[in-house]
This record gives sequence, C-alpha cells and structure tokens, in this order.
Amino acid sequence: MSPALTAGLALLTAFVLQSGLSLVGPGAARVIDPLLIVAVITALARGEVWGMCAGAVAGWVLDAHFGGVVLGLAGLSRMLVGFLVGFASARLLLLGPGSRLAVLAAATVLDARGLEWLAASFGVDVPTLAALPLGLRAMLNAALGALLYGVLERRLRGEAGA
Amino acid sequence: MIKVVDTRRSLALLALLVLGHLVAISRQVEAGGGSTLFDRVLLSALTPLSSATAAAVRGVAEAWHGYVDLRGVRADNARLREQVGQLEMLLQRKQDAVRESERLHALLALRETLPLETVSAHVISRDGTPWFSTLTVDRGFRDGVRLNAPVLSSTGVVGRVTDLAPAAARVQVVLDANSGIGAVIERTRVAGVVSGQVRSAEAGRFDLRLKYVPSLADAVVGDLVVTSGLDRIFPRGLVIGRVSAVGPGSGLFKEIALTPAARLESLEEVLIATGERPAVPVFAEGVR
Repeated sequence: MSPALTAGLALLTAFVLQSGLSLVGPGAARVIDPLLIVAVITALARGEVWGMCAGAVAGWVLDAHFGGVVLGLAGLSRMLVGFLVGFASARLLLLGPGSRLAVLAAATVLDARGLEWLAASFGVDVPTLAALPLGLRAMLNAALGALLYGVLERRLRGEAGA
Repeated sequence: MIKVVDTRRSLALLALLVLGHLVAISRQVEAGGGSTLFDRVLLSALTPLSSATAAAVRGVAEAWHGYVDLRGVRADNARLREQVGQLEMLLQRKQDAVRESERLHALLALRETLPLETVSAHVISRDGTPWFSTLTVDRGFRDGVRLNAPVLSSTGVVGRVTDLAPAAARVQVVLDANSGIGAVIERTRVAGVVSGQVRSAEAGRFDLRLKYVPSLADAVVGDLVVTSGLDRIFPRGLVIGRVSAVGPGSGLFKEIALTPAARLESLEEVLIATGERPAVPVFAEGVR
C-alpha cells in the first residue's frame, strides 16, 4: 500500500474515531485527539514533509468539522507540529518507546499552546487549556499513540518477515 | 548533499504552506472597521505599490501636460510677441497721430492770429548736414505759394521760399548765414538784422545772430526778438528767438546771439503765407 494511501486511511480512521468520540462523550473527544496522533505517527515514520502534510489535513479536518473558530488555525498549528516532529525524527534517534512517548506528549502540548499563540496573534479568542488538563491530554495521547505505533510497527515487521 | 537539498525543499514547502495558511486565516479574521485582516494586510502591502504606480503615472501625466503646455506656451509666446509688435506699431502710429494733431492745432492757432492767408505744408526733405540751411516742403505754386513767401512754425519764424515747383518749394531757413530778416528787440524796439551763424552751426548748435545792433543799445540775455516788417517779406511781430548771449563785438555794433524760437531741427509741418488776409469789417454784424 502506498504511503499516501496509508496516511489517508489513517486520517480517515482518526476522523471517524474523533466523530464517534464526540458523539459518545464530548469530554472524551476533547481529551483524546486521534487526528493529532495520526499526524505525529506519520511524521515519525515518514519525515517532515509527510508530517506537515498529515498535520495540515488533520488540523483542517478539526477546524472544519469540529468547530474551529477560524478555518486553518488548527491546520497551521498541526502542520508546524508535524513538520517539527518529522524534522526531529529524521535527524535524531526517536525510535525507542520512551522517545515516542515524549514526542507524542510534547506534540500535544506544542499543538495546544501553538494554537493558542496563533489565535492570540490573529486576535481570535480560543479557550485556553490549563496546565493540568493539558498534561492529562498529553499523557493520554502519548500513551495511545505509542501503543498504536507499536501495533503498526509489529504488523509491518510481520509483513516484512512473511 | 542530498539531505541539504531535501531540507531546503521541505523548508520551502513549509514556507509555502505557512503562507497559504496565513492568507486563509487572515481572510477570515476581522480586523475592525468591517474589513478582514487579509484585506488590511493586502491593502497595506499593496498601498506602497499603488502609491508608487500612481505617483509614476501622475509624474508622467504631469510631464506630458507640462510638455504640451510648454508647446502651447511657446506658440502663445510667439503669437503674443507678434501681437506686441503690432500693438507697438499701432501705438507708435497713434502717438505720431496725436503729436501731429497737436502740432497742427498749434499751427491752426497761429494761422488764426496771423494777418496773412496761409497754407500748411509738410517738410519732405532737408539738408543732410547738421548745419542745414534749406528744407523742402510739399506745396508749390499750384497751391498759391510764391517766391519769398514767409514760412512759419507754431513757435516761430522758419525762413522764406527761395525756389518753386508746381507742388514743392525750397525754403531758406533762418539758420542760413546768407539769410536776413528785419528784426527788433521787443522790449527796447532796437532794430537789427537776423541771420545764421556759420561757426555755431559747425559746432552743432543752431544759433542765430542779431546784427547791426549799436554798441550802446539796450539788449540783455532773454530778450525776445521779433520781426520788424522792414524787410517787406515777414510781417511785423513774428517771434524769431531769444537773446542767448550779448558781447561787446568789434567796433560799432554789439555781438548778439539768439536761440531760434522755431524747433528747426525737428520741423514736420509749417505754414506758408500766400497773401495778405482781407480785413474783416468789424461793423458787419451791426449793418445786418
């Protein structure tokens, strides 16, 4: 399967999951961010170009479908996060589970604070996350993302071994 | 090397995408005053360009108008110069006409006071030398002019007719050293003869001499000298000039210089006597 198709399917899945979460429990939808996780994993696996493209798509989907105040604000934020993660992963050894956890957590924080900063720069009011909820969100996303990345990695290795 | 190229490419792509996002966001963000941030940024970014373009267009337009105006001004200038020239000529002619009219009025006034019939004449030529002694007028015997006829200007005696043609006459001016006019000093009634002075004419002055005035006679500078009528050419009482210098002379007579009353160097019109005016009976009104 081509990387673009894989990333597209992953994002579509994340979108469906995000939609489902928002229907089941709005609170959960705010805490867990599948679209961001997909963007970060793509960046880790494929580098900065894929990372920023996946981040941009993820952000735009969030803006368009999940009540973004200004279209493109989350897109820009996540695109920058995807780029940074991809850029770092291509140059640093971020292969261990700990590194992935740290990158996923940092990406969550960076995305939230980046969005707030960009919104403030454009004079747009967005709800600001306090440190504790943001920390919780970062840990959950990191755990979920690391888990997902591990599953994918094992599966890819299995396919490669077969 | 490949890494560097890839990094550059990815950074360029990032920059492009960031720019696209910024544009997209700016188009939605209200910047106050009813305009979006994008509009405002776009306006701010384009304003210097628009201003520069407008200034350039304005400059070119002004330069063009200036050029066109300059051409117009040049044409106007030429036209106005021509008009000024024409007007100056017209003014000159008018001024000449006014001066001629004044001179003719003065001659007319003189004519009415004279006991003579006169015709007016224009000076058509004169001697080309500073010490000129003759001039030519445009009246001749066809106009009733006779030899030795007195010639007068509005201010004084000019001379007498010495040559005649049908429509022209030559006048011997009083400046001629050979001329002679019977004269008296008006104040003292001392008689003498007025003629031209060769020496003063050579010096560029137009002086006359009053000859044959006895050494003991009363004559002072400023005395008016008029015709005596004794020469049977000029009627008595016409102004010849004023005494400008009185000297002891040699022998029996004084040396007296006169300044002519007529402006001989600039004469243009003169009166020529054609005969005596018939006496008007003063009782004519009463008879009727």
